[in-house]
Amino acid sequence: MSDTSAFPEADTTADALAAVVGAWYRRTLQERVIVGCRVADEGRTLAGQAVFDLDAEHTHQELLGQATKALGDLADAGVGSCGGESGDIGESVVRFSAGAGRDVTGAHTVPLVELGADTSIVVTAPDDPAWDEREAAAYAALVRSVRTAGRAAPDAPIARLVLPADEGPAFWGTPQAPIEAARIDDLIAGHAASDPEAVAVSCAGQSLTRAELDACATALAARLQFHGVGPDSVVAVLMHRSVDLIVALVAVLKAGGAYLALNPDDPAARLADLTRDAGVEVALAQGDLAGLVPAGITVVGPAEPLDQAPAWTPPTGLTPDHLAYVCYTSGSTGEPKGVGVPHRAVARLVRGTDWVDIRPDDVFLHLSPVSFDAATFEIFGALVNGCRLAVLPGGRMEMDRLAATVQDERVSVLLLPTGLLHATVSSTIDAFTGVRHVLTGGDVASAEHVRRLFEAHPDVRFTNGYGPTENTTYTTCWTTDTPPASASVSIGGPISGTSVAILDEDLNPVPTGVAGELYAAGEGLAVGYLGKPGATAARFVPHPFPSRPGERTYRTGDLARRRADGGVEFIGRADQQVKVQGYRVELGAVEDALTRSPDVAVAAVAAQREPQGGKRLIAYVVPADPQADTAELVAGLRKRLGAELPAYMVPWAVLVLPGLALNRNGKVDRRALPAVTRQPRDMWNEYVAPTTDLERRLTDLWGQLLGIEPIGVEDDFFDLGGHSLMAAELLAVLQSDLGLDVSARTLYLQPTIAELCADIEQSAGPSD
Amino acid sequence: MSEMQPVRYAVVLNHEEQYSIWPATRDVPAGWHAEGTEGSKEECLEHIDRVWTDMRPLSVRTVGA
Repeated sequence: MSDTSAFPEADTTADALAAVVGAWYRRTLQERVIVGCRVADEGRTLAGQAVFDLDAEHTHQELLGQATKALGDLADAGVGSCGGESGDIGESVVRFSAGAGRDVTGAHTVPLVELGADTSIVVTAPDDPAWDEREAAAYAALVRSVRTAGRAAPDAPIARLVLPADEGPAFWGTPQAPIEAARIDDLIAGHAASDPEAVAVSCAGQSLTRAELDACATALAARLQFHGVGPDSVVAVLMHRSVDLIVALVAVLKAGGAYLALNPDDPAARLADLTRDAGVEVALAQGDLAGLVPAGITVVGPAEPLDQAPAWTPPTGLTPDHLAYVCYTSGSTGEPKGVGVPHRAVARLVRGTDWVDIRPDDVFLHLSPVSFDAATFEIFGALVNGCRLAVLPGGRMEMDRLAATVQDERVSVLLLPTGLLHATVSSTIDAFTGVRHVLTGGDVASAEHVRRLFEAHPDVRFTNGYGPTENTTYTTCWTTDTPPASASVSIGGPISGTSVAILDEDLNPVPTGVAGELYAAGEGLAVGYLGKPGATAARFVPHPFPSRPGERTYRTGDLARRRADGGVEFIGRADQQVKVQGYRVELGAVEDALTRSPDVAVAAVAAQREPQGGKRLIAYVVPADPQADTAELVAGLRKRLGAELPAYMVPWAVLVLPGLALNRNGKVDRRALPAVTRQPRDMWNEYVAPTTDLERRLTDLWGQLLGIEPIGVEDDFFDLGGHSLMAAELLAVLQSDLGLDVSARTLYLQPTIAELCADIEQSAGPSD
Repeated sequence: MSEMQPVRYAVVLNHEEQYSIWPATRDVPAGWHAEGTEGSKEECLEHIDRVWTDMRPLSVRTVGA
């Protein structure tokens, strides 16, 4: 055994270790990689942990240096030191397990990489259903290709090593919708013609048959037409959830226009910005909201008698490629971008779908704001397929009212945004009784909550999905009849009418298991951003491998990797975008709004996990005047942001700092920003301390939930920043920890601790 | 990841007269053709902001016309 020693050369081991670290980085983009190492060395086994910090500029050469040093440290530390698993390491002489998932119980939660005597690389999958044999094989291939590419280009950044692509096409899925595109208003009218007496829409005891919906929508369309609405007009809609809202949306489509649903809670400045940007000339607004319509726009009331409608002339030249609606998202520069979605894309979402089986007797519930594209699935999933659409009446989201509506209306298909799904599972799991298919999306779903859903309702079918507005509600979906077995809930693969690919910065496909940017193509694509040609051209790019000439693909800005089973695994954002209460927020947009204030020199905004699992924004500001009064500055900034931005973009806490740490690129070092767990009470009313035991327990509970201290017994839960999902959480905790049954209604009517305690004591009173 | 040489882009458009950008050194995918403008990403996007005045796809613009 001379040069074919059973023990690989030390540098071979370092090389393999560097490849394992490099491969893990390319897979996860984690900038800290912890590797458990077991190395046979002259008859003894060395075990320990090596920590690697790397970034996008790190080269194979640098990594090799770190690996050599780590192995040296291991040898210095001696035999069988801490970390790694115990026992014989068998035939192989080197074992590495990358990733932070070390498990003290001995079961490994990350793949085990073994370097054979012949320097072959073998990967054993961990005891995690997310790691099947194919996934482990793909990872082994990745470690090998990173080693080969790294040796060939030792001075190139690992992040940019071009790795051999998979065999087969870069995009997978079916870009063509299962059923040929048609206009939504035509499809709805078709159902009215075939069975006019079936109920189309119902809401709080009120309902419309298909024929009535058609007649009302036609009458309203005629009035819109009278005011000049036609193909390519954008009509603003400012309405509460109601039967009239559904009539209004169908009327806009019938008139050939596209609707822009506005949120009545948005500041006036934003409503003015959005309607100006979209070129709105006509708005549909219910009486109490008509005052919010910006000046210069014609307001049409949605509920006027049918017989007063002007003559109706069906518009000509309408196609499925005309816009159906416009949905605003946050843009990177701070200005909102209006996504223009055509009828074709809506049809692709709801017709002939392979991820949800829609039956004629299904009942859908409409509960999402129409300014949110989940509503597209709720409303048109029902109307386009001839199903009944039940509408949750407008107003604050109350769990018991939601549950009662689901039961009363016999809802069978229910889409709840992720946060609301979690809250409903925690607080009112009976709400799902009779629901055939539960869907979610918008944020990262918790496997624990989904498992609890299945425990309580074993016959339910469940879908978790992912998708940007620009590709119409859902891009990938995972539909299952059994609870998730893994620690995270899959977002599945591309839905019918969609193909996806993971590409690098040069639009080259990356192999399975490697992080890259997710691109989407197919019939779900939006037309673009209204009035923003440059922004549209930057995001909707030529399809590098077109299925038909001239095809475009949408660059999502989301980082993901392809799984060996054809699923997509979401990693994060390529930019500074986060989800807050289900809305997309560009941190840069909030930073811009802060720095527009003359009182602010520098600002940074970061997202932080809420204790309940959602995200909240923390703003860090350096004042222009170092002597400025902090409390006054914060109050002024909050007021300013509140007048400019929608509520979900206003930071939960504003911290004033003397300066911000910068990283080596001269940018604010986000990792150096202090975390905020509690923020001081900032209320207009006087602080009143708790006096009774119950009051004290409630103030503790509210403080934990809201992250504020101290809490006064006369503070309003909603003024403190509580939202409907937190209210649901609060009620669930009151029930589980204190055995108190408090209805959502009680909390909404008596939103202070003093009032709640009085109510609780009163209802407990007679039995004492 | 921005220390690399700045990539030059070409302004391209498809049969629907939808504009976009494409690396200048690479062949344009089927169904797209170069408009003639080349430059940095920003220059190309600014150019598109000026010239793409009607963003409706050609087939929508010309229907019934």
